[in-house]
Amino acid sequence: MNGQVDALVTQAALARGSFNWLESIELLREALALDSTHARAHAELALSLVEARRLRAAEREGTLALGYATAGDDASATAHAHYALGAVHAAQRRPIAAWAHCERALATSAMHVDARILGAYVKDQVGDATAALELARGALALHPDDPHALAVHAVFQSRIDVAVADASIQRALTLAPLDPEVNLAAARIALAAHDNIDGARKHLRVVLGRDSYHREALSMWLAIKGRTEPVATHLWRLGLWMRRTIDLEDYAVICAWMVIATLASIIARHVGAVAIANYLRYAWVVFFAGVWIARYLSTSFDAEVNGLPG
Amino acid sequence: MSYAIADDPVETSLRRYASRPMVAIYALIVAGSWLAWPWFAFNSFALGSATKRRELTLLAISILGSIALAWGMFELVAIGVIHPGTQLLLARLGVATFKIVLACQIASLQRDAVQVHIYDGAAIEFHLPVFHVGNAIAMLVLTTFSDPLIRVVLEGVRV
Repeated sequence: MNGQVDALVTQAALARGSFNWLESIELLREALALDSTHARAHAELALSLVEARRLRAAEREGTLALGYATAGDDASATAHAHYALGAVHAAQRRPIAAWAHCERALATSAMHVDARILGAYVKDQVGDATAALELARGALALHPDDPHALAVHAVFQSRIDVAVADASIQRALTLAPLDPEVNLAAARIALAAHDNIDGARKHLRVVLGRDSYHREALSMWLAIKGRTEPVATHLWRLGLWMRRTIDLEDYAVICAWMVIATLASIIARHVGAVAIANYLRYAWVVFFAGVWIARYLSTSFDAEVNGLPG
Repeated sequence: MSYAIADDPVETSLRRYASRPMVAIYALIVAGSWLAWPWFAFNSFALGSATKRRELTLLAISILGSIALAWGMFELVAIGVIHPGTQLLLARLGVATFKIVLACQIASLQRDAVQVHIYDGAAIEFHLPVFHVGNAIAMLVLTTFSDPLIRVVLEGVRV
């Protein structure tokens, strides 16, 4: 049975690698139905759930993976469980906790290349560029043909040696031309090292094609837009923010808007500006209108991202 | 037998009547909690949410807390601490804010269940006609109650 479970876990990891998270999750369900104490299956499930944005469940699966791996005294599975938990915390925007798990993954198994790659990005996020470069170099030394190792190396190497970084990113793009992580790295290098706007746009299209809310890709796209059309950029920023609020159902923003509008209405009435107070009572209509405008603005954004006339 | 992930919702026969929690939030803002609270409770069952117990507990806290806050507010009015007019409006907004904060918590729990359903290929509708009808009859419903305490408990954010 263990052989069957291992085969399912391997298949799931391949499915995750080709961005098919639904299939990956289903395969891991099958694997865990056969053996619910399989640490690696829990860790892989945590990683797939991160991609599916089911972060609470991902954290639980990561914790289960770590528990079973520790109980089974399996160093490789323990390192993978720590890596999975690191990925969960990175997705939850908790870089300190993410790094703590990467560090423990690497202390358990120095050969864990994914933990090195994740650690490099996390270290860069907290402002430690030297450690990020060291981790990226370590990842590449372990797996010279891993597209993600090549990409992370290229990003951090580009700050000191552009030629070496270009060689790394070209190799990564040859190995995985449609990988979002590789394309994001290529866009960063195209923009920061070469000031190549068209090249950066081409790579960002690939990233946004996979995830239209990719925060960093959107920021880079807007930064490019801002160079030539500052007014349009502000409108787009507003439109995308509203679209994100509605599509991802960010209730806090919607509710805060209403509470602030009502508070303003009460204050306006108090100071005698009754007409303004009455208008403010209909702030929810303004919000709905804003949503409609945001749809229009983001359609033109999508058209440009997809290379269509906006 | 398949392995159950922690946030997997349970299949229910009511699923097609489940709504996006965002509409219940809008209902709370525009129409009032008389519409939003039952909507959230129904949604918990219809979605088969894995966090149903937590959602219903938050709902109970919201109802009981609103009653307590509204009662406290009117007691303060009675002893002259809160004056009618701006102060009373601000106090009513305080009660509404309490309701809305808890509604956000419930909605974000339900959003996770909705996302899993959508990810599995199910369509979860907005059911906007319910919202529109609720909005249209909101005044009628609220004026049915002569007790101001009940009205404050059941009203929306637009005080």
